[in-house]
Amino acid sequence: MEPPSADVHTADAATPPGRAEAVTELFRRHNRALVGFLAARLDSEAEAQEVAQEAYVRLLQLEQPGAAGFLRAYLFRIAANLAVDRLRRRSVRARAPMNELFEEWLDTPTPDQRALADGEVRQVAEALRQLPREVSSVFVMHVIEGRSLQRIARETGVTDRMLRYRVARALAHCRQYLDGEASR
Amino acid sequence: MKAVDSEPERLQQAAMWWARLSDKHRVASADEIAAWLDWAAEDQANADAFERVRALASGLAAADDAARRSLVAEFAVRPRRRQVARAFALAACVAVLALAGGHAFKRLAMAPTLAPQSQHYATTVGVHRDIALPDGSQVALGADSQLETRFGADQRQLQLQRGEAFFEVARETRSFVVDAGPLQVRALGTAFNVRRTGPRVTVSVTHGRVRIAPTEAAAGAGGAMEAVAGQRVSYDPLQGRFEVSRVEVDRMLGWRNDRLEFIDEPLDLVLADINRYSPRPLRGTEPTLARLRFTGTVRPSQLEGWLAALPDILPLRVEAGPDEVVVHATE
Repeated sequence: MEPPSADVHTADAATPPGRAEAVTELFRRHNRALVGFLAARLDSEAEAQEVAQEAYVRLLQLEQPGAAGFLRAYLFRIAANLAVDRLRRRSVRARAPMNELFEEWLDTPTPDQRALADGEVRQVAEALRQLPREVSSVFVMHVIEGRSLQRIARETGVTDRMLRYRVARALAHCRQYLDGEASR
Repeated sequence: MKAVDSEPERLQQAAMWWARLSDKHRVASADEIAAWLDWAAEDQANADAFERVRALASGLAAADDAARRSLVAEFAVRPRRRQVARAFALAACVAVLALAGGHAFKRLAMAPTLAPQSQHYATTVGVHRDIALPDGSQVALGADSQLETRFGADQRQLQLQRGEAFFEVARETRSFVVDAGPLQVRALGTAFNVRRTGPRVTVSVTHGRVRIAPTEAAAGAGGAMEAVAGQRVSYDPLQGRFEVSRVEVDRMLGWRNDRLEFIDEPLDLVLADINRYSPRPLRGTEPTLARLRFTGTVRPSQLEGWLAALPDILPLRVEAGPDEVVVHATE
């Protein structure tokens, strides 16, 4: 993605002086983290790029001037709100019949997502078999079934904080396992 | 988060960030976003690792229906509830499990009531011992355990000073009473299990019923109560009261077959219990270990494997040295 163009936006009367430079600087320093943040929430790299772009544009037009630190916080808040809007729209679209099985499927994958090939899914299963049951089951319930950690917490009596740890543990383990297989 | 000193640790941090940020039911706070920016900017490799775990998670979520269903079927099917505990073939058995402090043992050993006809039995770490008592009762003494018995004209008194024991009680007119620190358990033609870890005591009844009476050490717990088969009664010193729940009690006797069973127990007490079987003592460093709960089976013969898997289940780091194993909380 290109940095937001200062030329375009300085032409816009709504952009306060000096703002374009500040936003360009934010882009240079934090764009990767912003897109990563959004991609995690939206489960789509392409949508994350779009939302990030939109957030920069809104930031350029923001009336209240602020220190650079403020601006950074604004950028993430705007982006997070835009992401919530997207998810909301998507969840309306996604009340489709397949949700009988994946009942909390808030984040229906968008077409740009590279699905795992069958062989990779098999490797994930192999990696999961190496983990304790209470770890692999939470991972599959959350990441594959799309069940919320809060709901699993209510059902199992394990805190969502602990469940989050287990999901992360399993994810890191699978990633490592797949990387090891790939380099073999 | 502190800087990583290994790639697996970096991946783990990246996965933690993914788990936090991807949770749509949470709103990232300003502090969290600031921490995220710091971490992502700290090292190019951090951002790379994050992209790799994120790609895996979303690639899995986007895998075709059949692939996802197969993973759900293998890993996410709710466990069926186990069969209710089978009644014991033995007419009456008593299992007592205790972890008493060293000074408690000294105090009890000096108690005059035990002095004259008392018999002392002990085992070392990792060793069980079968004992035939004079009344015909059988005792299987667990590892690293100490038991005193005193049989009088009216009563068969036993004190488990530390460790664990399984009693097969011979039926007769004299009562059979097991003293386990804050609680005293009287067999009423029954089978039951007592676990004592410091002041915390849990009684599980497998057959018949028992009468449980608090001693002076548990004065706040109220009066005596009776528990029947399938019930578990815990006395928690922090709460100062009994808690009654249902349990598959035969699992509590698995220690005789290399299976230590724990149900939602504080990790520091779990470690203390396992220590009776571990050639190298396990030691927890942070007080937070008491806040972590553990449910599951530990096989003393496969302790190394359990320790290796422990960080998968709980936020812990295990450091195995030549003389001891140290368990650190990581959160």
